[in-house]
Amino acid sequence: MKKLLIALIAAAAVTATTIIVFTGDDAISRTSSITTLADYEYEIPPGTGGRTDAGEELDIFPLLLEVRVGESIRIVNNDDRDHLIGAFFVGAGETLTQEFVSSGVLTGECSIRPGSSFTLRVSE
Amino acid sequence: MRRVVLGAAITLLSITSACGGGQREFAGFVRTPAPSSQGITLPNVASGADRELVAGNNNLLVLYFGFTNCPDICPTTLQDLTVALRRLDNASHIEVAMITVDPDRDLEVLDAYIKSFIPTAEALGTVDESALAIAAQPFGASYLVDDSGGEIEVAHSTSLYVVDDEGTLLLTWPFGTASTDISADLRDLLSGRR
Repeated sequence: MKKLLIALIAAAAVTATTIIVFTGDDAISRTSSITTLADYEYEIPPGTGGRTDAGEELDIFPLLLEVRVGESIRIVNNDDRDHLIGAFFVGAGETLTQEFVSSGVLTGECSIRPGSSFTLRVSE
Repeated sequence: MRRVVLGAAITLLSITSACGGGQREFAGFVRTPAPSSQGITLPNVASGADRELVAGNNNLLVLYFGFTNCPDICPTTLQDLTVALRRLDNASHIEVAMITVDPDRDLEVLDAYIKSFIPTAEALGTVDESALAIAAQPFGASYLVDDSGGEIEVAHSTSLYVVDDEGTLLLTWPFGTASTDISADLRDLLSGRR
């Protein structure tokens, strides 16, 4: 019984530690932007701007991304240039994160594919 | 002994309950590391005084880059923001500033324009192109005024931005973000969530 009690208390302690890590206000935003995997992950690799300037067609983002409310996107910009991906502006060296909370359509130009746009369609 | 076991079980249950409530995600998107507008100023078009692009102490500052002749995007966005602010109990902690990307036409009229939506909002603008570019840079706001065809055409980015009292960009709301989502995000930010 004593062993069971110790195990229960230890489990409670571990659970508490884990939950504190993931429920603290700061912890949530940081872990969600750094460690938690998003449903849609994209990386803009180093040299992307230069390759685009040279006329190369890069297939990093689709023209249309259809997602559902509750899903999330993360865009890591490892290029030394800022990029505009539809409605998303991602500065050089930055990471953008968003979870989709409402349905709708966002369309905007895409700096990685000059002359074309990136459309994000969020549905329930 | 039973009491101790029960106590441990209740502890587990209450921890689980605290976690199970969940927390809504921000509707706006987050940029990491967050850019800052601290130290960047633009003139208030009404008073002429320089306005730093940071919120007052414990407030939030919502910024928008637009122009008064905008036929659709700007009025829609400002109306959405107006509705979002009306939904807040503590809207007095939200400051709003509109920055014109079309200063040649807007400096005289921008203050009345933005105040027709939000009476407490400030109108900022300058004909100094480099000052405007510096102000737009942390937000990634872009704009282009083209009068080469005889008619003035203005293109501009359409997002709303919110910064804290240190000028840290907390969220960006793309055009079309629902006013309910904006107000929910502002409520969470005002409660200290980051």
